[in-house]
Amino acid sequence: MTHWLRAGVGAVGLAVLLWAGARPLGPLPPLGRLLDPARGVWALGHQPDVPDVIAVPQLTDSVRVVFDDRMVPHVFARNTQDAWRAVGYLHAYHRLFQMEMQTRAAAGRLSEWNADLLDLDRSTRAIGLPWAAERDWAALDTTSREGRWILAYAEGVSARIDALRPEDVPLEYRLLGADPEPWHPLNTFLFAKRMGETLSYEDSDLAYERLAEGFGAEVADALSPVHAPIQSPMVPTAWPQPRVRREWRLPEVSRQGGEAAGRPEEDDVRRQASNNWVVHGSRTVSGHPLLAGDPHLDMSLPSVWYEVHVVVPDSLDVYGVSFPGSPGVLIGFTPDVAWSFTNTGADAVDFWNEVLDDPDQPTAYRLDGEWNRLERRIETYRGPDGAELQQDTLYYTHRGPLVREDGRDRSMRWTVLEPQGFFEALVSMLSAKSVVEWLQAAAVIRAPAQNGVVADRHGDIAIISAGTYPIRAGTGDGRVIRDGTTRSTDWLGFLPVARWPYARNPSQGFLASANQEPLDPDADPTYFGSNWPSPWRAIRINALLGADTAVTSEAMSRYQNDPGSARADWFVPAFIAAGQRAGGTAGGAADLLARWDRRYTHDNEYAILFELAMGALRRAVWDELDLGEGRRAWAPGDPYLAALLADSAHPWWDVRATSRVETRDNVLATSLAAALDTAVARYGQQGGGWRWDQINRANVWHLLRLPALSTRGVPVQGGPGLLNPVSGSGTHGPSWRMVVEMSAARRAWSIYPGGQSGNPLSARYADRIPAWADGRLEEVRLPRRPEELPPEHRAQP
Amino acid sequence: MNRPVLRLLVLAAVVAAATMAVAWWTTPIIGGVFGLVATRRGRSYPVVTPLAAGFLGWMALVVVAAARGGAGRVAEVMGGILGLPGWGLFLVTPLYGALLAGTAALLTAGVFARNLPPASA
Repeated sequence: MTHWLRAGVGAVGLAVLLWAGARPLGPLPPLGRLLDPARGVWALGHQPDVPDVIAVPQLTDSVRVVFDDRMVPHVFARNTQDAWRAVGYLHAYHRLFQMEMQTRAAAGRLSEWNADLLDLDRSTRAIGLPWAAERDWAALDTTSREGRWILAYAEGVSARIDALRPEDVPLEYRLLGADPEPWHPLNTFLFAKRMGETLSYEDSDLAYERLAEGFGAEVADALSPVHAPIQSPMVPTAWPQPRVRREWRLPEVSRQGGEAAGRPEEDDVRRQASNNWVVHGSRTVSGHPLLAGDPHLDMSLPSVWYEVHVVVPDSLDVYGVSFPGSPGVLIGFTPDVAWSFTNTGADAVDFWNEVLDDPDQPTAYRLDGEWNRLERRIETYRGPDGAELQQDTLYYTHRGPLVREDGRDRSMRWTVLEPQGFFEALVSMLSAKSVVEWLQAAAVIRAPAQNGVVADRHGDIAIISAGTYPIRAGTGDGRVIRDGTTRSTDWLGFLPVARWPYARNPSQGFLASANQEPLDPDADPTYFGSNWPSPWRAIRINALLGADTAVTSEAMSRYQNDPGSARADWFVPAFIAAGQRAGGTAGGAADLLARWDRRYTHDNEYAILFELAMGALRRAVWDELDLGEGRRAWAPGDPYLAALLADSAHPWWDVRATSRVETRDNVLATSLAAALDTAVARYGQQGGGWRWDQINRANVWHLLRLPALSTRGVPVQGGPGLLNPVSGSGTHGPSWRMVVEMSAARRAWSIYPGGQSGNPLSARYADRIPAWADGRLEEVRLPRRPEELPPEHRAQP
Repeated sequence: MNRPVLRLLVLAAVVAAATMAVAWWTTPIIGGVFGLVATRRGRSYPVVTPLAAGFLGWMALVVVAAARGGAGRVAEVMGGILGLPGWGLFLVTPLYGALLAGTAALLTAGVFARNLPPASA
């Protein structure tokens, strides 16, 4: 009996251990693969940071890769396809899990790793990302240059996956109990669609409709206007900027009784922002153009970017950042040109109300008096064990995916679901010899629309908002939902390139973009979009560059981290005046604010008071839009408040919860007093506890949101509406910073919040974050031949 | 060196070699086989020996890995993920190897011991 008992205990214990070894047990990852002392995580700790060899069987010639001391690979190939094969291999060597995760996210296949993500997958597929990626892949001309690049890149990635030994499998796969999938060129298109979604997908038309139903068309028009209330456009104007647009009027609110569905409150920092600017040689100390770029994205570990230098004699010499998952360099420079992008934020999505033959099981939609057949696609979702979790039937009209919301069937047309033109453009951009050639290359960009600044070594500078801008029927207003039963409401075409926002070598000697409305509507009222991001960053950089006639590369870097705030400049005088008039707590707060230099430096003790006052002001003014439970029918940006400052008795200043009628100064003073009370209650008395860097922190999360793999609570100099913005949660900010001097000697500096290695156990995983947080740039190495990289600048001499 | 200790060291070396050459799941196989053989031959410590050998074999591999570098970072990061102190992984890893070998030996020793007369030694 004892023997049986021992056997039973042994059997049960062994079964549990084997199960825990092979499969996730509760929150624990499969322990066998993880703890295996020969091939588990212990092996990842000493995995070489750089590969010994680029083992891609399809290479047609010799390829040399040398890593510099920043672990940037310099790829020297004899033909471009071999170069992208090598880059594919390197991406997979350093970022394989990230590449698979982002393509799974775009394909709606995350539930195969975690069944809890099923709803996310369903929404991804419902808006058509995998459908569109498959169409692009099917239409790819594999003999074209971009086709050859994509295929060569995929060969490089696949070679690395094929060469993976069990001990090389990235940590994240072990934590998930998964294995790397084979790579397919389709993944590159999936990634492009995913970035397109990040940068251009908005269902604001639906929110706009609800706002109009709830508060009237005039209020909706004023709070989501076609033209920004404060103008500081990208394309220079003959008249001084910034200015409040006189035509902007906010009518008195009148609740219409409609169901305004609301959106969560959000700070004034629009999430997908960016800066870029370029200075003509006539305003630089060196006499050569200087270009700066810092795209703002959700910061993550590993970073969305991978820094690389690719050299193919007589063909290609490009340095910059690539996206793991794609060939090419998105932002960077060659010996001839340098460029960077910001998001245009143009209206790229429209919706049509459709009439279906059968709402439950539709087969056709009404169009010009006839029933038109719906395209149908069955989507199957699987869980980690391969079992089917869900099946959806998705439908498509000639416009695009059919989505059902609030019981209404709507089709959607979105430029990103059509060929995006980015790879085609990149192929030409990387070989452009001048600004003019680069602009010609950019002319084939379709989606997402991007503001590109460019400089060349001859001294030319330019800016362009490149992308497809739909021409809409009727007034051309893209905010409204259209009647889907007639083709007459379809897009009529796209704006010709000649009408894209553009400027070259302006007399002011510099050009900048920061996601603001690109054209002053007085110069060109064309509809590009609505509800534009706040112009604070644009106002600030234009002021800095306008005041500096001897710009240096150091100044360019300093401006990227500038702590000055155009927003504070706009509001602080009004707060001080109102607070001092009111006296009491508001007066005390005004005195504190008067001591502020309006800079969000690390040790600043007043920025927090201003931010709290702005929050209180927003809540007081927009109380009419409050739907309770932290939701508002709309979350207007601070420019609308700024424009309202001019009218001290505007009805929106009145706080509905009180019996008296408030004016601007009442609300400003009350908000300021409330801010002081909150600051004291939350952080203690002013004089130590209000340090800005105690409150304003950057959080760079790992893709799986695991705290142990993330870098959190990083003190940064930056803040809302600054050139160095930080979102309220600290997860959003400059994902890459670059400064380039376009001299014959070519000099450039860069940084990003992360590291080149995607291995969390590598010292190169997050090694750049300290320099990034300090606002420092690192000079990049630019060898023209492998031998030019001196031993002291090599990762492994 | 007495025979049980020698047996333990040899078994630990076998566990380490097999884990390095094949994978983690060889450890319970070795533990099970040892439990069976030791029981049939009436050897002493048919379970304790593989338990200790699993621990030692895996610990030896951890030491080798640590000597190649990066072990501190591994322990720190994995400790953070698994909710262990920094040194926890250094203990948990060989402990897992020990339990794999020990439970397998317990199983086979229990199953095969029932047909044998009680061990005399």
